[in-house]
Amino acid sequence: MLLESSPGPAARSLQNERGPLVLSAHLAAIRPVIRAVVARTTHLPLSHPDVDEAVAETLRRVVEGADRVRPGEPIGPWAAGVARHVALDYLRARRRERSRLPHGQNGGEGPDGGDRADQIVDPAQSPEERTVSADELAHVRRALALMSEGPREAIIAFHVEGHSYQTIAARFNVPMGTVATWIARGRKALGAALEKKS
Amino acid sequence: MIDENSCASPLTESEVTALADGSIEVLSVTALEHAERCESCAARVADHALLSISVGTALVALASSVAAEEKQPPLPSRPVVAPLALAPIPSPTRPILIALVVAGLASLPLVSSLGNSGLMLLATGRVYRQAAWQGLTAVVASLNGPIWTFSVAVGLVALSALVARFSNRFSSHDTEAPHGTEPPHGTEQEGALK
Repeated sequence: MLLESSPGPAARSLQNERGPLVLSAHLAAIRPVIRAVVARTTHLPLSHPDVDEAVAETLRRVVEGADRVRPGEPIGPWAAGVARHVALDYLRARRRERSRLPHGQNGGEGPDGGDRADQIVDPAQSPEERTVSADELAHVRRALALMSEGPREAIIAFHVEGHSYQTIAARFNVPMGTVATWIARGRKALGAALEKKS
Repeated sequence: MIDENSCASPLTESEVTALADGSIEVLSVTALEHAERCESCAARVADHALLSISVGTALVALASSVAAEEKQPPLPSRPVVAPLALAPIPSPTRPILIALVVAGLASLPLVSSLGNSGLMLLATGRVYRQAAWQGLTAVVASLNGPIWTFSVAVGLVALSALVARFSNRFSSHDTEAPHGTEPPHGTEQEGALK
């Protein structure tokens, strides 16, 4: 594997900052979500070669940009954000490529015969680039207050304190599946609060 | 087209969440293999991952906001410094005492001529009182008598005024102190106060 054979300086720093973790295992953990985000954003099937290419590019950027991750920040959502950027870059490149080709030579790319890149509207702001307004903060605070203790503590421990599922499970003495359920429930409530505002 | 409802055995919500967060230790091998193949579950994972980014951004912003609120010092219940109007005015006792002492020292050379000055003051006052009385008498008399009586009265008043004036001047010359010992009135005290 590209990243297993020769981890560069950035990869080494990722290992150093995050303790004695096995890099390949860490990247293997985020690989499914990266693949899913790329496929979802580009509207290509999971088995498409371009998805594989974008996944590899995302993993490369994750390793190289590991220094930019704040201490304690969960790497999963950050890697998903990188994957989304890579997918959008791919769509822009495809669009430029198509605009240079003469009419009728571009061929079909999507599963239904059309190039899905042309059907995507490039969103102005990515989720991580959005600024959070005071109203949104008030909604999130209210939603947190209405949440039961487990989901609230779990989602804060994951997103704000940067703890892994394993650490959160140990802290609250619950199975990791429960932590996942709490986080899923809490995130859904907070997502609804954010959607209510927007 | 991806049919997101085509999955026969979709991943549970917690599995999708764990996968989106990169916490695959929660998932079984079967679930992982399914996620690699199933388009609809992968789409759910992607949606959840993007939601996770939004929620994480909002939570971090909220945590920063709360931390900033806690760092702000509490507002003082009353002003630390009293307003100017309410500030106590310091009593000028000390400057007044100093001024009195300086004035007393400055007036020491005049103590010897204090008796002459007092007599001169009494004499001057007497002359002014007589002049005023005579003038009043002349006015009263002129109202009842002929014109010459009035003229004499005016003359007497003028004469009284002249006498009083010259008497004052002569008295001053008589009581003049030797050169260098008489301080100019007020000048030295003012200088000391300055």
